[in-house]
Amino acid sequence: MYFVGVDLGSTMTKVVIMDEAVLACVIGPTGAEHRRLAYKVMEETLRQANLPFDEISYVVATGYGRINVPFADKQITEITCHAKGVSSLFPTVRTAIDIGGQDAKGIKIANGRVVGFVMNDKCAAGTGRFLEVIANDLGVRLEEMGELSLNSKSRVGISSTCTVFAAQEVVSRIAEGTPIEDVLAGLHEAIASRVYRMVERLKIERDVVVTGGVAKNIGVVKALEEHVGFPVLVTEEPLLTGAIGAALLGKELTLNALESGRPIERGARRLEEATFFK
Amino acid sequence: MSEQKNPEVTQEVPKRTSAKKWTESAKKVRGLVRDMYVRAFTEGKPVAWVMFTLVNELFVAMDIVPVYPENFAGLCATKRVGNPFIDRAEADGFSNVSCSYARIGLGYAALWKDMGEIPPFAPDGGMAKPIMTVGSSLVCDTRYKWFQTYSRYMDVPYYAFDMPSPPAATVYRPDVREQYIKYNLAQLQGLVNFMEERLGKKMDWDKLDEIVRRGEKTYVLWYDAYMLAGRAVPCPFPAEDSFNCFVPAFFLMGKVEALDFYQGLYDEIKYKVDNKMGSIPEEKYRLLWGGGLPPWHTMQIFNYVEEQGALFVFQSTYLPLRPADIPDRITNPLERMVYGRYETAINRAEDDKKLGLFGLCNFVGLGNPLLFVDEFKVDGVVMHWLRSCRGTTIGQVYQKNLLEERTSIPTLFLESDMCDIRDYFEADWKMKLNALFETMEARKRAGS
Amino acid sequence: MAKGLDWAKRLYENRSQRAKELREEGNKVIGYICAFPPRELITAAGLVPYRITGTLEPITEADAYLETLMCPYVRSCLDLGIKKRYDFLDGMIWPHTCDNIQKTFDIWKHYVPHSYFHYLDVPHMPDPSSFEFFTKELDVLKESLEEFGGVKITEECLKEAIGVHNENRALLRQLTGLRKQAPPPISGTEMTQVMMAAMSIPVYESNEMLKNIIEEVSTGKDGPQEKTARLLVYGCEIDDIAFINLVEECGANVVIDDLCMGTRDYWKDVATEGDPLKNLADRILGEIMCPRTFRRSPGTRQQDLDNRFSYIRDFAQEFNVNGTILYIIRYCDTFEFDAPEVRDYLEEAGIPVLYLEDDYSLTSIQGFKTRIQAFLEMIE
Repeated sequence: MYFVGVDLGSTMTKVVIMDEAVLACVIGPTGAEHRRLAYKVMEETLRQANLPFDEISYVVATGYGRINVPFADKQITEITCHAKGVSSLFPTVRTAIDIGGQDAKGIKIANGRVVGFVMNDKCAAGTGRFLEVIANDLGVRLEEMGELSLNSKSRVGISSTCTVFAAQEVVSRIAEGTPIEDVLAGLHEAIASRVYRMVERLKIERDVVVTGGVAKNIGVVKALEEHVGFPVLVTEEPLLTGAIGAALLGKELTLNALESGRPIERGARRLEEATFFK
Repeated sequence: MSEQKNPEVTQEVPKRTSAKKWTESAKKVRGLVRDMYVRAFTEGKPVAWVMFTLVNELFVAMDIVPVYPENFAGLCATKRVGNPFIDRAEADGFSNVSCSYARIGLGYAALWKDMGEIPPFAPDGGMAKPIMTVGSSLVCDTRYKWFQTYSRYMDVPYYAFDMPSPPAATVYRPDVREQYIKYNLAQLQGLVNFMEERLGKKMDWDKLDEIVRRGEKTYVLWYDAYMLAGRAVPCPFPAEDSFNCFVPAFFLMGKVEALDFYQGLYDEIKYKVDNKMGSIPEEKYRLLWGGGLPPWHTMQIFNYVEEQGALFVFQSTYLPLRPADIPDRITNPLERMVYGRYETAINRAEDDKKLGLFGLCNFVGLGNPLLFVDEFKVDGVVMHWLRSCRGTTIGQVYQKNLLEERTSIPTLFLESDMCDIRDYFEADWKMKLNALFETMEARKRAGS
Repeated sequence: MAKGLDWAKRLYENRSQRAKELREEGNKVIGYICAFPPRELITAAGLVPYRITGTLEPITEADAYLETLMCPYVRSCLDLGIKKRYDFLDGMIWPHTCDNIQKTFDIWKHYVPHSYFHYLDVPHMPDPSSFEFFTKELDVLKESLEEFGGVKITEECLKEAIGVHNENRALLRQLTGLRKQAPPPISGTEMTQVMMAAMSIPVYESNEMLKNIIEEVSTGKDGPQEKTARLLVYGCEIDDIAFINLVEECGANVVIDDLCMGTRDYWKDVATEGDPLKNLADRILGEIMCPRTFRRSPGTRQQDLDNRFSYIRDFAQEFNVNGTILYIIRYCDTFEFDAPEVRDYLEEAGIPVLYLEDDYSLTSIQGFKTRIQAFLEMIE
């Protein structure tokens, strides 16, 4: 049996196909146009796994755009899916910190289940979007920000939590001649401290894993480690945990239904463009 | 909450944030503040954590050392060490719009409990352990709610009491006067009973009487000194100094030190006024700080204003109200306290009434700028919106509207917070202040 | 004439309609904000009490009169006032319940003209002297209403008004009690509409409407479907169905609330024996469980918490809920200080909690969808 997890995030769409392990995965941009086109990423994944859609036992959609997946059997929030994905990769994890493009969240996990969570309050500060804005302003590549900041010997204090003000603060510090690595280190610390404060509401417990696009930024991860006071775990592909969790939850649902003899609830399964007006 | 800093990376050390002091009196305040915290540790007397409520005299009389977490929070902000406390309180779920004094105060107690010792970065050695906490409903709701929550972190008996200000309507309805006096008196008596029980000793009423009467004299000196300075051209005592010099009136009231302090302040201001000694060389613009707590995190901004040739000649946030004449026939010191508080509030309502305004005294914690703009020859008014303080923020727009209706003086709103540095953006402030200077300049040129 | 829940729904959609009609017939309508003013006194003076509320519409006028860094509910109320949407009110009773409300009184009075205003001071403390003071304040209000209404409020007619308002509260409790059933015969969304409607019409009509609704929902009307979770919603002023509706759309039955426009308003009656003004004071200051009223600790921290919050836990147990949503409007200071305590208290009692802090607008409410769904997945 094959299970699919589709994580339609605000910036990236992630699809995985699993049986016992991940058979294929594709990560593509979500762009305004692509939001309707999740099925194309799905088709690409099926092609890689060399499977027809009919062979798929169950499809779970998650993420910001989960309702825009007409071929899904069920929608489950990214919080539940992340917890599942993370616990399958690291069974010892008690706290997951996910920093995505549009939001940041903390999840408390016990026995593979969510026991508490927090999400940021509708604000770009402390998310990948914030880093994107700054990278753009400074003309550095998003992917190199993390490494660059590790050269810092004296990081600047970025006090403002507002993206607009912080961006201005960054630009004026650069104009003053502050080395870019010190500014970036300050920026990463600002994000880390904001996310940490939010997640600490759950009382952070070991082990901690960091996922989401920003987990690829070593500067933010190091700054988070300073706050929590011990090393954190990072998955090999931090973008995929949500999709993996979704596929695993689909598997669990299917197996439970088979075991109890209940029928499996399915969606419409239209492998087509999403329409926003039903 | 252990924190292991990466030893190779050091955080920038914040520069000095406080403003230059213009008067000898203002220079003394820092020492008095430090002394307050140190004495709480060294004198061996019982310590109380208290919300400022105009009842310091009771603590002096009972020989209790009061420590004021509000003041401590401001001190933390000035030293730029407030945010670790704020973070700790927010991690417990307290909102980032809840009073930042409260977030620092609660975070302090929480970190103390976490670490098993006073957080080493607490300024002036921190606040000593109390045997009681006392809050009240004067000025804002936070003042009794915040302390209710201390039981999360420490097991200390808490007493809260009411001190309702008379509504503006009292001026027109003398029939409610008696009920306010009676209630305030009963509530103060409740506080005295609590202190007596907690300490196992009785109030010495004669001693209290002496302290209260000394406090009355102190209050008059405080008021006279502030008004004298506001009226003076040039002004020898700008707002940043007066934001320091309210400290003894709030936190040391009733003590000889406070009386001496205000005598000294009055004498100094009088001398400078008589000799036409101002602060900056030329007062191009005279400004009024017309509401909102000051930015304790960056008081230096006042010096920026002065560099542009402008001076805040007065602040109406920490405003001594026109003192009451307390008749000698009132001999009970508690009654004298209540009478004084009540009558000063009525004085304020009557001053507003003369301007045809009726309700402004409901804005406890926000003076009416219209009372000062003419008398103090003010060219511009600045008010401060605080993200975490309803008590001194709500009403500012109303006051701006009234200023616009009745004068042509420009008003500027600045936005940040009294303690939380995350809400402050200096470039934005400077840009807005510069725009105000340009407006005042244009107004002067137009000859209005 | 619409019946039952339709009656409530129509009033909810046009809240001021009945009050305007009554005014045209020559009645005087008195507005009030918050759960604290004594409606009984307004009724006893032969006047029509009307609870003012805000709206989730964007605030377009109030920002010229009030700071944006304060309670969005109060800002929205003033916004409607400035837009002349409360012109049908002859007067306004304004209680000193919290800083946000208290400080808006003078601004309202200055910019929204009515012929009658009364500021009702409400002590924050629960001491005998506080009750005595507040009883006196109610007496002052009584005299002022007598003067405005040109009537004498006798003890007898005040007692009668108290009786009718007690009946109103009893009917609301009876209706709420039905929600213990699974599935509940009335949804949280409908209950919000009923509350909003009940506070917009004279109490006699409100009683008639409630009897009608109770009959309708207890005799086989199609009620809500049974969802995966039964929830309690705790918070302050929710005066629109949007939030409760969203929660129910996400897959839950909201079966009980602790809200200002909910049980907090009608759970306790006014005593009928003895001095009616004192009885009113006892209910308002003693029985309305709003964090703005201080409660003295009976001793230990645990006793203090039980004294302040055990009724919420009891609600949760009586109505067999699986979880609680704390819906806190930003800048509502007294609730903001209690929220972490309430959260921990309920979690300690084994009741899962979702804590949402909101600036109260339609778009921000929609933003909570994922959190609510994840919460439901968590407690499933």
